Amino acid sequence: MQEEEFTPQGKILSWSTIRVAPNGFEKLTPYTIALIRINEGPVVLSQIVNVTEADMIRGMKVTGVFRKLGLPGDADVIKYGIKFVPVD
Amino acid sequence: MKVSVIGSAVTPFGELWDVSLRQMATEASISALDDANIDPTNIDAIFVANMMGSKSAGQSHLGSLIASELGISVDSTRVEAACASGGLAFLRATESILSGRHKVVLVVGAEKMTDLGGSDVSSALMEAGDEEWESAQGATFAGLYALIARSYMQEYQVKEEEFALVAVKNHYHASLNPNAHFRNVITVDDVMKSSMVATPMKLLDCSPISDGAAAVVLADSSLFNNKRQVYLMGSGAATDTLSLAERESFTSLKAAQNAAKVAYKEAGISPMDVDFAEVHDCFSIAEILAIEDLGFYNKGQAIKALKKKETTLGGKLPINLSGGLKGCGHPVGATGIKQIVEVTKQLLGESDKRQADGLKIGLTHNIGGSGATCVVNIFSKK
Repeated sequence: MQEEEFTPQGKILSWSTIRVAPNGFEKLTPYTIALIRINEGPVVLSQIVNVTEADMIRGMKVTGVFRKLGLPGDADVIKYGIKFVPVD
Repeated sequence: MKVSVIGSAVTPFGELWDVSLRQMATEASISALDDANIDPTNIDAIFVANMMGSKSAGQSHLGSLIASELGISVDSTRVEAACASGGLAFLRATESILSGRHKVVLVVGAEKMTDLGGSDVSSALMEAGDEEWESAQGATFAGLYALIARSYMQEYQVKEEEFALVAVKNHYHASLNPNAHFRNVITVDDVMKSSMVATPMKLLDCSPISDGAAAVVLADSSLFNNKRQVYLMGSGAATDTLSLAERESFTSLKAAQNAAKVAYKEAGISPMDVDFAEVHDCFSIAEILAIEDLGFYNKGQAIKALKKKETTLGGKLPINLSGGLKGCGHPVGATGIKQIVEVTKQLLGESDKRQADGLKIGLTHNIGGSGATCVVNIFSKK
């Protein structure tokens, strides 16, 4: 197995705004998830923030930002990860 | 040796507040055994399909539980592949007969879902997806299928209201099925007016949260020559990446295409030979993909067929006569077995108000997760 590093820059393929959330994400609704094609080729699923559903278009350029992912679960650990914001 | 279904039964599907997981599973099993005219003591093995028994009922170890409830102590296995648990349990059961190890086998699928609240059941269902790459990002199943739906809309220039035709058709079929979760006929307008769950999927694009169980009794067909039975012609199972983002295509499910190829080859038939099918319409878009992945229609042509009512009762290729997951309900572990019960009853001519005519070959298509597992089984009258 080999490790690869990617730059968190890419383009939106598809998206959906979630209104009915799973545990830990209830306070975030509505939030938008998207399939993003990273410039190097792979596709990732992530949340898109600082944008409304009406602004979303296929091919929109986005860049990764470090964010809290949902609320702490039973273990009381705050999970952090990457979300994406539109590039102006 | 050929394997046949010699008995089949379902419980009602719906919000069954008074009934427990073990009760439903036992009822379906006993009814299927009665239908087969087989005593529990004549069963050699049991396969149980269930996804969330531990979360919803605090109950695992279902193999032993079902055997205990039937008063027998045989080889018994729980099979889990999310929403494809039923189809996969059935396939493993057929192999236990074809291997010569067992002669008469019971397969029962059951799920108790309504004891969990909305967020809890949504989280439980997301165990069918990728925990690190999907659940951690707040994805839900409606969300994952919504991503597929939007991709399909972009690629084939389809409008939201065209997906609604699936739900409308399946509610119509369900209205003719006394065991279905929903008995109400709905219109495209009803679907369009229902609230958004994950854009563009609305409440009426989504199959419900249901309780229910279904069971079949299988045997080496030569042991029961004079019984009414339906024969297994071929099966296929395949997986694809658990995570949706890693797929090659967002508008077709490769696991379904591959499983179907194996099943058609084993059965010695082509998609043209199939008269009717029960497919996995967890969301309206899923039925569109299914009938294309199974080779019934070319890519992008499914909606045309729906509009022409080809896949409605009375049409040339009825799909989801039970009402599908949308109309009949979707108790996850039970669905794959229910599909097989429906195909069996239809081939035997016992489907009453929703009976289709001229049926010789039926197919079941059961999907786990967002297309991560698919099991296809093909049945015939002779």
